[in-house]
Amino acid sequence: MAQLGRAILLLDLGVCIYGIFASIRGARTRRGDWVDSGRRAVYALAGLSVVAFVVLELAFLRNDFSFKVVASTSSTTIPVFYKLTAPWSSQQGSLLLWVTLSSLWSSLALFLTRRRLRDIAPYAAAVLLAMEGFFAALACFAANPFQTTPPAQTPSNGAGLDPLLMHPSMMFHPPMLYSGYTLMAIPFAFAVGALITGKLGSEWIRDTRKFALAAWLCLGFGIVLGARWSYTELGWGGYWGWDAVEDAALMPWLITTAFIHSIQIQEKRGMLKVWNVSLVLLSGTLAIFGTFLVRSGVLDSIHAFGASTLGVPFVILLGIMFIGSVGLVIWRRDGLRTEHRIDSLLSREAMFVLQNLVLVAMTFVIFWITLFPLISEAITGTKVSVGPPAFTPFVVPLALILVLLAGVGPLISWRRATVANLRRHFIFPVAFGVVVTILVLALTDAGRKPLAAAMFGLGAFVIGTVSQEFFRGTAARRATTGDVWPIALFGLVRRNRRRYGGYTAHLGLAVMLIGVAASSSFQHSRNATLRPGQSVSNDGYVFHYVRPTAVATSERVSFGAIIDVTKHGKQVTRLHTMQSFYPSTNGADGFIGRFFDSANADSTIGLDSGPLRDIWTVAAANLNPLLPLIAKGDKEFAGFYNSALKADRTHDPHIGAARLNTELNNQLDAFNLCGTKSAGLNFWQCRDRAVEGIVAQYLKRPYPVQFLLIVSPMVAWLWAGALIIVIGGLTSLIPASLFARRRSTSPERARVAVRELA
Amino acid sequence: MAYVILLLLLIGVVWLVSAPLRHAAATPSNERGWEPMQRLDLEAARDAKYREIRDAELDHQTGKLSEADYEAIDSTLRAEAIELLHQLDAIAEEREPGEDEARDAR
Repeated sequence: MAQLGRAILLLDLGVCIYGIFASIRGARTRRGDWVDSGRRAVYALAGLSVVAFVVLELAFLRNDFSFKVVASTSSTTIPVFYKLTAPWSSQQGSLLLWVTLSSLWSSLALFLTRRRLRDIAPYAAAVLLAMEGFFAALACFAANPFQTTPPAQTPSNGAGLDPLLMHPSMMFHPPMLYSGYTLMAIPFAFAVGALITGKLGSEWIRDTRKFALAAWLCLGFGIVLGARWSYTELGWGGYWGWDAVEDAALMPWLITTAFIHSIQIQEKRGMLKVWNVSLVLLSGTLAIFGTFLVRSGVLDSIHAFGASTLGVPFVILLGIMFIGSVGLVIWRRDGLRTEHRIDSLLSREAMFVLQNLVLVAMTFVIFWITLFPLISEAITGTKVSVGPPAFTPFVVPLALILVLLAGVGPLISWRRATVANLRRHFIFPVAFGVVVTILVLALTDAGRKPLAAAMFGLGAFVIGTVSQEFFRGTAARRATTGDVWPIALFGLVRRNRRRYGGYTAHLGLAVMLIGVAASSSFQHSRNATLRPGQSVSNDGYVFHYVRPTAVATSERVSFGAIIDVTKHGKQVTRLHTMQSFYPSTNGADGFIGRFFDSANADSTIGLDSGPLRDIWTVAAANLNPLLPLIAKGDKEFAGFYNSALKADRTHDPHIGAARLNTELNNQLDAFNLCGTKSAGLNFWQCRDRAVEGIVAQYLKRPYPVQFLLIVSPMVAWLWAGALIIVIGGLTSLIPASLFARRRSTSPERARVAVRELA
Repeated sequence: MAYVILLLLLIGVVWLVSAPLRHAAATPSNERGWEPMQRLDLEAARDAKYREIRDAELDHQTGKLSEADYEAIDSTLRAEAIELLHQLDAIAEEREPGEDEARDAR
């Protein structure tokens, strides 16, 4: 089947090349048949890529270790769920996932526009196929997921999946991120098509806006899933570390946020054409830049695939995209001009422009600081590492302004506003924000963190704004229709999905940033080394180490701790945290030591989550007292193995290997390995018994264990806010046709409308 | 088995992408199924104008726009929308009668 996969990848590449040729020929000769053929090449690419991906998934499910990628990222012992997700844990598999998702989304976009955008769509198809061809070529020639090993060298088991990737988020996080990145290619491709053809009207914007919104939604959701993975899997208690790869995903998301706001100004007023097309081109380029950071290994990141040879091709692609984009905008600058101007600085469009500037500034800051290690290395020869403290002084003030604008925008009407109206609309949200700020300052110690206190006040202002908007809108609808409140609210949102979907997203942003401000500024963290029965307090909570736990299975060895958390003498929760060690495949780790390799371990946190605070714990298993036992086991088992090996070397090597296996699998009668009674057991069973014996020692002795104990306020607000943003985004994405009772014809619509409007 | 699947895929791809070229002789290829760009552009502008009218109406109903401002903005927007609709009508009249209905039915 590997041959089939390799052949499909080559076919993918051929289809891309043909599709580019057919699309451009169709566009230049205005031949619809060639354009159709080019578009169908995208459908064919999607179909082929899905088949290739299924072939790869089957290899993982069948434990076909002749596939190099299966041997390096899977094993017989990992659960089926993680075998399904393992393909995208590798460079090779994720490239194939990229081609598959990109071709599927491209097919959808080109299918929906198959009778529209006559001039632009063929060029967009060519651009999309070129980008997909680039990734298909990488998968073909640089990181082929269908590479195999000769049968004689095929291992009986794989190296296994990185334990850190065995997390439910990993099922959805990478596909969501890749969907976001690949969806961003669609507005990018149509923008290039519009610039090439000079058809810079509203049409391409209308047809690709929904893809920009979908990209924003998928990328945002993917980022939050990654944050959740970090919080519950990485064992450091945080959800965002300003890691280079996290930043790489955030930058195109911020630019797309700017675009989906400012595009409304172009739709309504025909303004900001240069700005909008630049934002689309920038977000597309940043999406590829993010991929470059993940795959090139130029910056250190826990999310990256490590050092690779893919950096140069990506730099070339980025150069073409950037220079081409700038060139096209300069070439079409006359067609992008507009005579309209903003009527008033007190208007929603003025707020959108201001918000756009803040978002672009934030992106620039993040870009600069993220790349600073590379820049410093290029100039001084020394790679300077930067961390969260470098970002905070710039990003936090900009985030505060952003939240303020998220509250102000909905209160101001399009085109113009009067001071009297503004005063009336600002009273409730401002009062709400002020009251919340005063309460927070009076009842908590938030005064020591003024920026966090400001975020609470501004977040409350946004919540007040959105609540007021929903209330007033529903009341106005009730006055018109006489509906009861819930029906009026539903009707209001249904008729104005973009507006109220956007307001919901603003509400989510406020809730989310309140959670971020609270949890990052008022987190109480404490490291403590405890023996069973000992206690320590943190932020008013008493953490009592009840007892250790230890389990040995064929998959892993886990050492844990049961912790009782009490406050004022009352039980709050009981937590179980553990550290699991997965057997390493490195023979140098020893027969016993390979089961206790800290480089192959992950943490399961003990978490009690609530609306106002999270109690988060993790324990680092103290294996030091066990090390002499592990070393003794390694020595004894290696001694037995070597003596068996030595005896068999006297024979033919092939026969010798078979004899050795037989000998190791025979029941041992005369040996006593590592204190294990060997009667009735073979060598490997003896080794497993020895491992279990060492693990049991952990339970018998009261070894001290190092804990990280964290009490964080309002972390749940972050996840809830993200969920609200997703609901808002989905509301905005719902197509109007879903609510249409009957499809009317264009002339019919025009006649009715003229009658109504006149 | 792998070769059979590959052959089937190859045949499927060739059949799919060549279909428009094979049928090109039977249908005038340069106008098949395409909607005129000018009309689509006007329709996009019209939809945006409708949204703007609805937004202004909602802003007025919720008290964000004063009566005087609303009347001025609304009459401007409606005049602009009517102008767009007239342009759409003019394009529709240039086309064959019944063409729109046939397209919408598709």
